[in-house]
Amino acid sequence: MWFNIDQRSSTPIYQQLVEGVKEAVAKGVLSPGDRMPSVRELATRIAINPNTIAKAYQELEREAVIETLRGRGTFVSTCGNQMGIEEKKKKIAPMLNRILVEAYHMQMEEQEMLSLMEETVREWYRERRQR
Amino acid sequence: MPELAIETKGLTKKFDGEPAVDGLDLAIPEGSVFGLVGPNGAGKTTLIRMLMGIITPTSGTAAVLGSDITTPSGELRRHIGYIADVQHMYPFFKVEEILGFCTRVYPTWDANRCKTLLHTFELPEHKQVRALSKGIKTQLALIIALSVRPRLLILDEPTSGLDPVMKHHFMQLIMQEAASGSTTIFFSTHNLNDVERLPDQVAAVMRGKLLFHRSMDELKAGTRERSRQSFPMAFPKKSAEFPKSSRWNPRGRYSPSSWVTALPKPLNGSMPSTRLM
Amino acid sequence: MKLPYWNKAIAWMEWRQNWWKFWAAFVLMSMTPIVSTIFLFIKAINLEVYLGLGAYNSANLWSDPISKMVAGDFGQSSMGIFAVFIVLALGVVPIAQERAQNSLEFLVATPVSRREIAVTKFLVGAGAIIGIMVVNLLFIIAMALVLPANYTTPVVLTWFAVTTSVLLALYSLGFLLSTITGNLPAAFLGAFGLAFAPKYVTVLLKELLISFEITPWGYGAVHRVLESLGDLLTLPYYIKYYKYVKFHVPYLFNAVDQSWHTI
Repeated sequence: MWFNIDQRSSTPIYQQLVEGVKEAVAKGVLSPGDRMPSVRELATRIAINPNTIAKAYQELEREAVIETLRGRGTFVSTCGNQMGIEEKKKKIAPMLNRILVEAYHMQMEEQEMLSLMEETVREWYRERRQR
Repeated sequence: MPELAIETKGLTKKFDGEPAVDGLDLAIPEGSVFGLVGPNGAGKTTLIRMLMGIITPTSGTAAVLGSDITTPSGELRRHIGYIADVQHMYPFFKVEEILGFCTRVYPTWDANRCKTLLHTFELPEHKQVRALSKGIKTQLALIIALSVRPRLLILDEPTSGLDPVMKHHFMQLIMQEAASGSTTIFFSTHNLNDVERLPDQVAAVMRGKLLFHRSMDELKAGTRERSRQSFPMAFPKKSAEFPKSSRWNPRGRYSPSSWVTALPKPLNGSMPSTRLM
Repeated sequence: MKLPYWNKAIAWMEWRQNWWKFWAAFVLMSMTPIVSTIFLFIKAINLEVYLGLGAYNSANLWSDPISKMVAGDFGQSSMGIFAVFIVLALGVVPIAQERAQNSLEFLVATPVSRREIAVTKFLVGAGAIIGIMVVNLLFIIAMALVLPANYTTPVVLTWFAVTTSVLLALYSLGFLLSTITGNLPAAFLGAFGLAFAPKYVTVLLKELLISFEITPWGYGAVHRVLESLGDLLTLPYYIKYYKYVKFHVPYLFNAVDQSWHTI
């Protein structure tokens, strides 16, 4: 489940939660409009300090992954992240860069890399559509 | 300035001249979750027993929920839930009699909460306390502590001696109490895993002295630094001979090496170069 | 009850824990007044002519045990032989028991002050002793109202006043010692020893004086003073040799008077 955190990882707990939620939403495990557990509920459920959870929720809200409707609770965003195409590129490009650096050090060829990427991307989106 | 749930100034306790707690200064704000870490014999239990008025300090002062701990009246303990490191209850009383006593002695006792918790833990009400195992007695202590509807929870190594399922359950209940916002939680432990997930603030003690007191975020930011450095053309042997490198782990041609530091970062931000440390 | 430092919860707890001890104390302490009188009655029912026997007024025979106890005939104790031990035990047990079963820590961590603990426990035990005495008193007086008796009410009241005070004093001694040591047998023996101490001390002094042949103010007078003081100050003797002790008061005055004149 997205809120299973790994205590031994060096990633801070709130960061793991943020990434967990993002991944769940991206994979379709959490759909737009789904209700998120309240800070209190989640703190009780996984026995984590509620401030840590509040911090994760704040960040998720800042990135518009989730939204809080007053009086109703916290839900997965329906409208999603409205970023301009330039902004999106700026965020993704460095991540791609890092992957390419590693691939280079593993001595992967350009064509190898491209076909691997295409395969992975298509597979990912295919799985998502099937949910 | 938020109200302080616990405040100690130079708190000291000596047994036969040996200090078990030595000049401890703590300030714990209300509503926070505070973890006290330290090895066995560090003085955690002695400190807690002083805060609860079970033993009196040799020197120094401390105030709990605004009241000095040396006041003879028992009033300040009305809103404190306490789990001792070892449970000593009236052995010949049945569970229901112990709870009967608590009902009469705590003005804010919530009988409904008590009933619900008893049900959740499936605690046998008609059994005598001396027939209960250590883990069950600790559960009973938690039930009592929570049914008081406390403003402050003082827990002395509450999860030691509990099985993993029960331990998780305990932590859930404690976090639920923390999430309510109106309770301050002070717990001591020597289990570092608990310390990572539960408290806002952490203090470490050793041989009665306070080593440091940080917020959890600061501590995590400065403490563990894992540095991954890759050397595609083989590991430079000279680095292995570097006097301060603590561990290197070569694996084949592609050698990730990681070093871990375990000391807290000094607060003023100055860091020795730790890439290779 | 709204007394200072009285805590209802602690009182409830004391009763819940020790109720059978209080009942046992009641039975044991009431041996002479209530129990033996009842036994006499039962005997009387079985031996129909029992009430007719005896050189004196047979109708009063039932009141024998009580009247002996209340009048303090030589050798007759004023409240059963067990009374001293029971009362000392009632004093020592509350605090010593807490320490023995380690429950004092649990109690102290609750919102009660140490003073409340001490006062409430003390009052519960004292109340039990007074209660037992009062029940006995009422029984004795009631029996006298129903049947002709060998004793009179003023004597009974005197007996009640003296015996209750002495028992409470012994109880307090036991309680005090349990707060000092906390170890049950040690406290009990300590209290026992202290209760009988005046007698032993004065006997010791007397023997010392005799051995060293120091005879201030004439031989015999000082020894008699010491003896009387020893008997007067030793609390259990008020129970054990009730009337005998009363003799010491004029005796003491006589002895002092005598020695004064000798000087």
